Amino acid sequence: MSNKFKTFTNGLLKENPLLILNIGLCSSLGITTNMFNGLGMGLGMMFVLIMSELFISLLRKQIPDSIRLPVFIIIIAAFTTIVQLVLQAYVPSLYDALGVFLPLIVVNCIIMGRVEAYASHNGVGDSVLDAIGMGLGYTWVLLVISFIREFFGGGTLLAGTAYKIEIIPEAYRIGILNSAPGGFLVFGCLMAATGSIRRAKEAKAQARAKEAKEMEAAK
Amino acid sequence: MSESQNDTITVGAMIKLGLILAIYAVISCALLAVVNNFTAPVIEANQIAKANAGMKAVFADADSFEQVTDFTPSTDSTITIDKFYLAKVGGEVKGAVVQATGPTYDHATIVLGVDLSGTVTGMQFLALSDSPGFGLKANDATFKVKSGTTFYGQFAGKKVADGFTAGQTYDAVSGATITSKGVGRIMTMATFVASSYLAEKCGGVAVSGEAPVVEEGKLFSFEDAVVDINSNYKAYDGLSVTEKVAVDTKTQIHSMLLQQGALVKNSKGEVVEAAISVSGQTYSDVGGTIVVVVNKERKIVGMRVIALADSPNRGQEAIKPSFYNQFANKSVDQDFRGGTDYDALSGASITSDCIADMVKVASYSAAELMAQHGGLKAPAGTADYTLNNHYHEE
Repeated sequence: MSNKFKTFTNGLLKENPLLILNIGLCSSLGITTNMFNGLGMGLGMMFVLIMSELFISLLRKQIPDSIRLPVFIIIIAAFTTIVQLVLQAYVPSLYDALGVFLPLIVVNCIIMGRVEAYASHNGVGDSVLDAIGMGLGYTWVLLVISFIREFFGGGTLLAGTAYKIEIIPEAYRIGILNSAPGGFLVFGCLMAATGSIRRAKEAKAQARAKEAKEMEAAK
Repeated sequence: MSESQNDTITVGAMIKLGLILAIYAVISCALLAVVNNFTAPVIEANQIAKANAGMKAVFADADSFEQVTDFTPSTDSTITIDKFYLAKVGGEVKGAVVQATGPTYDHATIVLGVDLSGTVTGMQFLALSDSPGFGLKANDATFKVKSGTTFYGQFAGKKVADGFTAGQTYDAVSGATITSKGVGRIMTMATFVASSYLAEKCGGVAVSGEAPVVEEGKLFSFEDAVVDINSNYKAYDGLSVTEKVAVDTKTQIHSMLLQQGALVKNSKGEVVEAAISVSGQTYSDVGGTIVVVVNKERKIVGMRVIALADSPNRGQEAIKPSFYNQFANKSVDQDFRGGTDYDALSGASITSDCIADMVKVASYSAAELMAQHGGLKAPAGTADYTLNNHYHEE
């Protein structure tokens, strides 16, 4: 159980695709100007990730090694196009907001990377767990970035939905957060925070190990 | 992976791989076809609703729209009429909806409606790529101009015949003059095309006047400039002889250099004007050259630009008559300060001020040259004039 659990939580923080592996950044910075977009992109991405990992894991023995990349791309592109068609039909506002980043899911490193590194070597159950973990890991980071950018940059919450609330008056908003440089700033701060937490943890673990060694030596 | 590099792949294996790939592609295609079958009608309905909603927003009364293509194209090379629809109520033409794109600070695509009486029924932006916080306020639903409406909302109800002049017939966005004026120009062209089509083919009110005049700028040679300046100047008859005069092209005057000088004579051979060209730095390092013609009364007859390396749409506007004509009839001995003595080009105050400084230096030198040939001498104390000083005298 713990092994499966680890597969699942791997993507949330320890191997978070955005904060730790630093892959798939373009779309995550491009669309995170409000939380609705962030959630939409996260869920769209998760759907493609789960379906691609599922099918590729299922078919991993039937896919010849020498043409596995084109086959992966075909499968990923098929699911991306499905997401695109469904969004265009039923959530056109989100489809417009995500723009070019939606079709670009096809070439998103996160999906290609997980499919190549994980799903093509592991069983169906583990692959789906990995996909859910990675998808959630991607989505929560998008939500955090888009929350910061929307709240401080746009002064609103839930923009893009019918329940939009204006909180900060326009004069006090940090306009730069709405544009691309703001995305980089927020993401850089998050990366720095994650890095420092990780280093603090490592230092603690090392100190504990050292202490244990010294105790043993003292004995 | 490594084994496939060493082994030669047989033709059969290659075909097999291709077939496998094809099978995956076919299966994916079939899947997409099924999904598309469900979503296509919904998407199409969405798009029609969206397009109609856009047109309805600027022509609320119409119940259907018919696209036509036989309208007269824009006479301004920078503005294009993208789409032209006739707005109908119960099959009867009640007006037109026009989509047009043109330059603002960057550029804008607008859609607007005009009814048969020549009244704007509404205007909206389809795209506006100006600066956030400045030009984009024009498309901000929460931003209100002086009259209390949104910038784009204020156009509804305006008469096409009144024209679109920022600050007069409509309110500009403060801090975004270029955007506001640019939109006005696109409006002028689009409403002209719409109302002339309606007048011609659908019984709309006749449009007064010609197509909006597009002001074209041009650069002159020294000689052409002198001729052009005098072509509109009726005071002297038969200005025909221009005599080149050597000028000191080596000594800097406020970091500018004289380039050429000439005396303009009338048919009796009397010297009536002097022309001097000067080059100096402007917004660009390459700078520019202008020529000024001055008469005996120490008045500027005219100014023209010979060379200018500044940005298109901003500094380059200086080569248009609306800019250079403001220096005509001014006294050589006055100051040329942006905003008080002449109107600087919006978005190009450095270019404008530098050119004004060149005008000052050139006209003063030309007046000196004229003084040697019977013109008025410089009044006392006018020799140590000051300039706008963007780059000079640092």
